[in-house]
Amino acid sequence: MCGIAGIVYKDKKLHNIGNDMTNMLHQLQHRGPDSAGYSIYGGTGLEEDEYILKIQVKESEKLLDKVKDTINFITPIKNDAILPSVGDSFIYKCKISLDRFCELKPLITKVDTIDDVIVINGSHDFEMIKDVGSVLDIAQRYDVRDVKGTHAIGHTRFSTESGVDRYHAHPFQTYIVRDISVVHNGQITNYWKVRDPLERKGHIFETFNDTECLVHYIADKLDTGYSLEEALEQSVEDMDGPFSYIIGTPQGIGIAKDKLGLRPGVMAETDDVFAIASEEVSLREVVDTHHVEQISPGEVMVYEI
Amino acid sequence: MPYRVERNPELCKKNFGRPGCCWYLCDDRDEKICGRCFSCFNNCPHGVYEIIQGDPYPLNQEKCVGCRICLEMCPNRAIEVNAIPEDARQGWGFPDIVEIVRQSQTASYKLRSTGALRRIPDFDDLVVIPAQVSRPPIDKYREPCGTDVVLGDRYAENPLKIDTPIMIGAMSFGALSKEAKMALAIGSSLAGTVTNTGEGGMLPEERELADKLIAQYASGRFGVSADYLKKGDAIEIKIGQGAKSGMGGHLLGEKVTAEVSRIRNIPEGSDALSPARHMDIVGPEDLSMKISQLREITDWKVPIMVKFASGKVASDVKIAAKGGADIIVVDGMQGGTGAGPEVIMEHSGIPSVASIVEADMALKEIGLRDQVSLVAAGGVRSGADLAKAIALGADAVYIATAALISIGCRVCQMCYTGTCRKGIATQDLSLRHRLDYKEMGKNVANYINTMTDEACMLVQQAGNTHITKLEKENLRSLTLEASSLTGVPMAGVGKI
Amino acid sequence: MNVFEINAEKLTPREINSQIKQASEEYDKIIIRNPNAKHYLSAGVTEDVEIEFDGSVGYFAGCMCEGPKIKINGNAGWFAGDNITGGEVIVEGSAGDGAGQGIYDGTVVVRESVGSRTGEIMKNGTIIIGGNSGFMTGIFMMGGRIIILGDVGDDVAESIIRGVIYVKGEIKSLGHNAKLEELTFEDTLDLEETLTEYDFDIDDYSEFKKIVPESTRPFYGH
Repeated sequence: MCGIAGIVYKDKKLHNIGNDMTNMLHQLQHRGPDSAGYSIYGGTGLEEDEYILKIQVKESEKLLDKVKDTINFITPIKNDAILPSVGDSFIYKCKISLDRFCELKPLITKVDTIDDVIVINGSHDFEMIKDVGSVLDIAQRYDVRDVKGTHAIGHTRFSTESGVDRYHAHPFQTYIVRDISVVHNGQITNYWKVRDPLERKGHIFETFNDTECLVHYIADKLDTGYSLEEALEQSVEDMDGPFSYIIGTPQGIGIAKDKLGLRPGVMAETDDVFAIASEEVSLREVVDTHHVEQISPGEVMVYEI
Repeated sequence: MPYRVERNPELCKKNFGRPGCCWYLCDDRDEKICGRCFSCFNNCPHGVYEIIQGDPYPLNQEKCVGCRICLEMCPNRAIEVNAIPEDARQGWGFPDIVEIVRQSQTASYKLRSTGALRRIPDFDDLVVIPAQVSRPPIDKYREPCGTDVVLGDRYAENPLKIDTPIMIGAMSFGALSKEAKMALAIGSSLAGTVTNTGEGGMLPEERELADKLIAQYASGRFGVSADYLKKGDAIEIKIGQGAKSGMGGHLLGEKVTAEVSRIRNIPEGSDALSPARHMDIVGPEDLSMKISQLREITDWKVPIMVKFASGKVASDVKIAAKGGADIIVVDGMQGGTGAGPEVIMEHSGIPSVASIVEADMALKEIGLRDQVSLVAAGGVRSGADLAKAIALGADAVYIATAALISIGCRVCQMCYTGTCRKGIATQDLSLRHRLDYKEMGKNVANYINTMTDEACMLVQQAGNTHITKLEKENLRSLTLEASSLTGVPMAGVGKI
Repeated sequence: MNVFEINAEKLTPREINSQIKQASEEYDKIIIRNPNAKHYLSAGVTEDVEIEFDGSVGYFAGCMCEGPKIKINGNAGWFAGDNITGGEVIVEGSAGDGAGQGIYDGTVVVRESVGSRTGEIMKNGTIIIGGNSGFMTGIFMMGGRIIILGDVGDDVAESIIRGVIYVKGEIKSLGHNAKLEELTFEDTLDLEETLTEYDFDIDDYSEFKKIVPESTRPFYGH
C-alpha cells in the first residue's frame, strides 16, 4: 500500500534521476513510513552478460567468505563492495557474468540457502535500492542522489498484511523476464487465485506479498507474447481489489489502475519528462506545470523510450 | 432454540388489579374493552398471537424468539414462554426448515437486529484464578480497588478520563429514540463514564446531558460538520462494527422520520444505508491521512479513535496504531446492531475474546502498546466479562446491547422495524412515551456501577488493587476452544 | 480590507492551519503563498473570511469549513471541499477524485476537469465542474445539485436517492436508480443564475440533461 512514483526522461540520456526520485518519494513519505525503494534504469553501464547482485548478509565472521565462495564456484566475482546498512546486516554488492539470464535464478537460490543471507536483487539494466526507514535516510545511506539513469520507479511503503523488512520493501522483481520490477499501492484481494496457476507453471514465490504476485503475473504475460500495454490491460481484468501499480522495464514505465479507481494516480508531461505519482505534490518536484491529469479507473498507460 | 408459548385463559380473564397497566401495556385507554386487553397480541414483536373469536391465541409459535415481552406486559401473568429442546434431524433443525420455507416464499434474505446468536467461545469459557497464600487476596469490604482509567493520551491534549472502564458504545439517534439516547447520556454521566453519538449525528439534548461524549465519524457522514466534531470529547472513526463486518450502518426508511431526516439531512422515509467503507479510506495510508485530517479540524485536542470489526485484527490494529490513532476499538462478532443481514451476523467475524488478545499482541509487536489504548467490544454483559476483557489485554470495554437491556430492551431482534415496544428503538411518539428516560438513566448508572463493583471483586480476589492491573496470567481456560483462541492456559496442569 | 499573508513554504499543515484559524478571527482575507500541494489546508475554518491559496493544494482542501470563501489558484488533490457545511471552495485548476464529497451546504467549483466520484454521499449544496467528471459521479447522492459542463463517465448518479445532476456534455451511462428527466424552463433559469454567479459563460442552457433518482428506497421496502 503506499506511495508510488515513476519518471521517464524522453531524451534517453542519463540524468540525475536518483535525485529526482528521492525528491518525489520524500513528498510521498506520509503515505508510507515503513520502508522505501527505487528501481533506477539505464545507468548501470554493464556489458550484455553482466549482472549486479545485492545480498543482505548478517554481520558474522566468515559468513561473507562463504557467500563469495558460493558465487565464485559458479562464476567469478568481477568486482564487489560492501554497503553498510541498519540492523545487524550489511549489503554485499558484486558484479558477475552469466552466459544466459536463466542461470541467474539458480545462482540466487543457491546463495539463499546460506543461513542469514538473503539476495535482495539481481539485475542487469537497473539498480534496485530498497531498505527500511525514511526516504531521506535511505537516500543518504546508499548515495541515491548520485545515481544516474534514464527512467526510474519508486515507492514508500505502509505495510498491511506482510512483514516490515528490507526484503518486503518494494520494488519487487522477477527472474522470469530480465529487468522487470514493480511498485504497487493497494492490495490484490484474489491473491491466491492469481498465485496458484503461476506456481503450477513453475514460478517460485519467495514471500506472501501481493506485489510479488503482480510482478510474476506481468512477467508471465510478457513471456507469453503480450506487449506491456496488453499485459497491463489484462491485469486490470484479472486482478481484484484496490490497486494502482507502476511497472519498470528497460524500455520505459507503465501504470495500471483498478476498475473502481480506488487508488490514486496522477500524471504530468512536459517536453522533457513524463511523470506519474500517487499525488500531485510529488509530481511538482520534477514537473513545473499545473497541467496534471487524473488516471481514470481501469486505465492503463505506458511510456516507452 | 424454539419456544413454546402458552396463554392460560382463566388467568387472562382475571380482574385487572394492576394500576396503570393499560397505558403502558396495550395503549388502549378505552376502559370498556379493558376486559380484553390484547396486550400480548399488541406487544409481541413477532406476530406470534392472533385474535380468534375475541381472544388472543399464540398461534404462530415458530415465530417466537423468546423475548418474553408478552409475558412481561401481561397484567395477569397469564402467559408462559418456555424454551423447548432443539428439534433436529441431523443438521436439519426446525428453525432451518422454517427459514428455508420463508426464503422460498419471500425471495428475500433475513434482516434482523442484535448480533451473532449462536454459541461461540466467549468470556464464560474463562475463569479468574483466586489468590490465596502464594499471593494474598485484597479485602473487598475494607481495602480499595481503583477503577479510573485514562484513554487516548498519546497525541491528544485532552485524553478521556473516566471513572470506570465501561463505556457506552455507538448507537445512533435514528436507530434509537431520543428518550433512549437521553437515558444513556444521563446514565453515563451518573456513572462517570462516556457515551457515544453513533453515526446519526448529535442530539442537542444528548450533548447537554452527557458529561463526556464520543462523536462518531462513520462512512455515511450523517450530521458531520466541524461544529459536530469540535463538540465531541473524542472522535471515533468507525471502520466497521462486529455485528455486520464489512457493511455500513443500516437505518431503514420506517425509522427515518422528520426529525431523523433533519439531523442526518437525508430524505424522510428513505433507507440510510451507509457505504461499506469510507469513500476516502481504502488503504492504510488513507486511514493515516484521515486521522491527520480530523486532528487538523479539532486542533489536536481530543483523542482520535478507530473502531474495527474483528477480522484481520493484527494487520488492522497495526495500521491504525502506525497511522496515529490514540485509541483502537476491536468489536468482536458478538457485537450488536439495529439492523443487518443475518447471514453476515452469524457467519462473519471472530469472537471478542480472540480479537482482544490478537490486538494486544499486535500493539506489543510494533512497540506501541503503552501509547495506544485498546477498547474491547462485543457481547460484554457483566463485571466478570469486564474483568476478563481487561485481563486479556483491553484497557476498557464498550457495552451497548447490555446498556439497552438495562433500560428495558428484551432482545427481540426487531429494532429495524421501528416498532420497539419499550420505546427504545423507535421514533413513534406513542411508544417513546413508554420510556421514562430519567428513571432509566438511573438504571443505566446502577448497572454500570454494579458491573464495576463485580469486576473489582474479581480483581481483588485475584490479588490486585486496580482494575487495570489484572493480567492474562490471572486467567485460566475451561475449554480447549477458548484456550486455543486466546492462549490462556487450561485450568489445572493443562497446557494449551 | 484587512489582509494577512502566510508563507507556507517551510510550514507543516498543522502550523499553516493554526495560523489560518488564528488569522481568520482578526482579518478579512488570508493569502497563503507556496502551499505546495500540502494536505488538509484550511480544514475546519468556521469564520466568514476570504482565503486564497497561491498555488496547488493537496488532499481534503477546505474540508468541513463553514463560512469562508476559499479560492485555490492551482489544482486540488482528492476530496476537495470534503464535507463543507457552508461557504465556497473554488478551484481554478483541476481536482482529483471525490470533489465536493459529502457536502451539506455551500458551493464547490472546479473550473477544469475532475477525477471520479464527484459529489459522493453529498447531502445538499452545489458542485460545479467546468470540465469533465469521471466514473460514478454522484454515487449515493442524498441531496443537492451537481452541474457538469463537460462530459461525465460511467454509472452517473449510482444509487442516488435525492438531488439532481445536470450534464451539458455526453453521459456515458447511468447508474442504478438514476433516470433522465425533461429539463424544465425553471431549471434553465436556475442554472443560468448559478453559473453566471461563478462566471461561467454558457450559450445554450437547453443543452443540459437532467438526472434524478427513480426511487427514494432502491433496496428495501418496495
